[in-house]
Formats: sequence, structure tokens, C-alpha cells
Amino acid sequence: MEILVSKQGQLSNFEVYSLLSDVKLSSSSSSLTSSSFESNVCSFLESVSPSLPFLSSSSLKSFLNDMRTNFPSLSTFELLQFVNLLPSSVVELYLILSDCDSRFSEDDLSHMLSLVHSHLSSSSSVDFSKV
Amino acid sequence: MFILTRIEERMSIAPEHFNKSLQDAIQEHVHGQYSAKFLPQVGQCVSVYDIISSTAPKILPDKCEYHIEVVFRLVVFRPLFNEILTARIIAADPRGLRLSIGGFFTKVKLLPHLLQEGTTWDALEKIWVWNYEDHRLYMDVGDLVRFRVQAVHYDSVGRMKIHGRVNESGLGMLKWWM
Repeated sequence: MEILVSKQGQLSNFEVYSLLSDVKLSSSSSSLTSSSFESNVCSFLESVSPSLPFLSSSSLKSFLNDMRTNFPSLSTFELLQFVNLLPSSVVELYLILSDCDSRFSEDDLSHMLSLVHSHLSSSSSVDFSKV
Repeated sequence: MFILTRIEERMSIAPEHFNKSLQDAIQEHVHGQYSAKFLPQVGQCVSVYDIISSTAPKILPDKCEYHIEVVFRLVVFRPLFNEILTARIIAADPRGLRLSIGGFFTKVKLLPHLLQEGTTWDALEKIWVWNYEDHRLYMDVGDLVRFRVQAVHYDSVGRMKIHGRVNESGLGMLKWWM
């Protein structure tokens, strides 16, 4: 076994969740079974981000497009954290954004939260028992 | 939280898999070998992402199986420095706290100097307590904590360990900020 590239790229929680959900669905028609480990990861992702089952590639793409257009200074890492954490409060934005006060106004932060809400939210509550 | 790792491997496919398509046989082999395994100096494998390429299968003299070289990508759990994660406290003692991420990764530590300022160890109740203004806020075993990845280490055999910190606003027990 040879590791050609140890870190070829990063995946969002949504991409991993979609992959593992597809493995679960296809395992019934093939001998490839979804391991309990994969199921644990899938359940964990669903529990910390209840919106995941309701998201789509198109909703993520449109969210990222809007964020990049309105806030071009956001780094790839910050955008990844937006997509993974799905922040709903200013406190969470301060966790994601480095040097927040000097880069963004209160209106900017409100705008970011409204973009998250309009593109990526659901009304489900967190199932903490699976975390 | 997750990265893609690209790997090349020479694998043997046994006769009982000859009735499957080559793609299925490779997929099953890689899945069986790597799902839930740890990759030294990389991280915890989660699943196969895709099969990129494979050579034509070769049957060697005196062997019943066929050999093939495959390039594939794996989904690997490996958090990034400064990333924000949620985990459950599974143990606490004067040396700090140990956390579990989803039950599938348990080598996460919060050391005392990286807890919220004013957090002390209560030796009687055997619990870490954040003394914030007039409040005593407990870090109960079994409850959820949000932390920032402070460092990702690898031990002598390449197993990953994560150190986190909660010494900023918005971090610590989820119940404190809800």
C-alpha cells in the first residue's frame, strides 16, 4: 500500500453524509454492506446537523455563491465551517470568522445569518442522543 | 472534519469473487480492508470515496487469484487545526477531560489550561467547574461540549490524537450557550 496523496482535499459534512447514505441505500442490492462504523458516522452527522437530510448540492452551491459574491474575503476554511456548523447566532459567527470585528459590520453578520437561514436551514431540532 | 486520501495498492482477488464485476470486486476488497481502520500518520478511515483506476488483472503462475493494482480515494476523519467540533465528555479527572466524537473517535483531550478562564477541578464532586461571575457551571460527564481543535498529534505508531480548547466565548458546554 502506498499513500500517494495524504490530503488531496477536504470534504464537507454534507458530502460525507451523502456518500454514506448512498452506501446504505445501495447495500441492500449488493453484497457490499454498510459497516456499523459508517452508520455511526452517518448518525453522528445527522444529529449535529439536523438540516443535512434536507440539504442538496444545489442549495449548498447557491449558498456558497451568495457568500462568495457578498463576502469575497471569506477563506475556503471559513466557508467550510459555515457549511458544517450552519450557524444561527452571532456567537457562532465569531467562532468561524477570524478577526471578525475588523472585517465585518453588524449588518454583514446579519446578512450572513439570513443567507444561512434561507439556503440551509430546517425546522428539525438536534437529536443529542445520537451525538 | 474529513479529508480525501489517495492510495495505490496491489491487491489479490480470490476466486470466490470471480463471478462479480471487476469494479464490484475491487470496491468490496477496498471497503473490507479500510473501512473503520486507522491509517498511520493520516487519520481514521471512514469509507471508500471512489476507485480512480485499475490495471488489467493478471493471474500469476501457480496462483488461483488475480492481481491488480488499484488507485482509489478514501474518506478519512482528520479534523483541521482551528476547526470547531462537537463531542461528548466521557471522562474527567484533574488532568483534564476526555471526549468522544460520535462514538467513533475517542482520543480527544481538553487540558486544564485550555478550559474557560476560571475553571477549576472540584475534588469532592470530581468534576470540572467554570466559575463565571456568581455562577458555577458544570462540565458533566455525558454532556456535549463544543471545542476548537488546538492540535492534531500522532503517536509512535501513527495513531491520531486531538487536543482541543474551549477558552473562548461560545465554546464549552452546549447547554451554556443555548
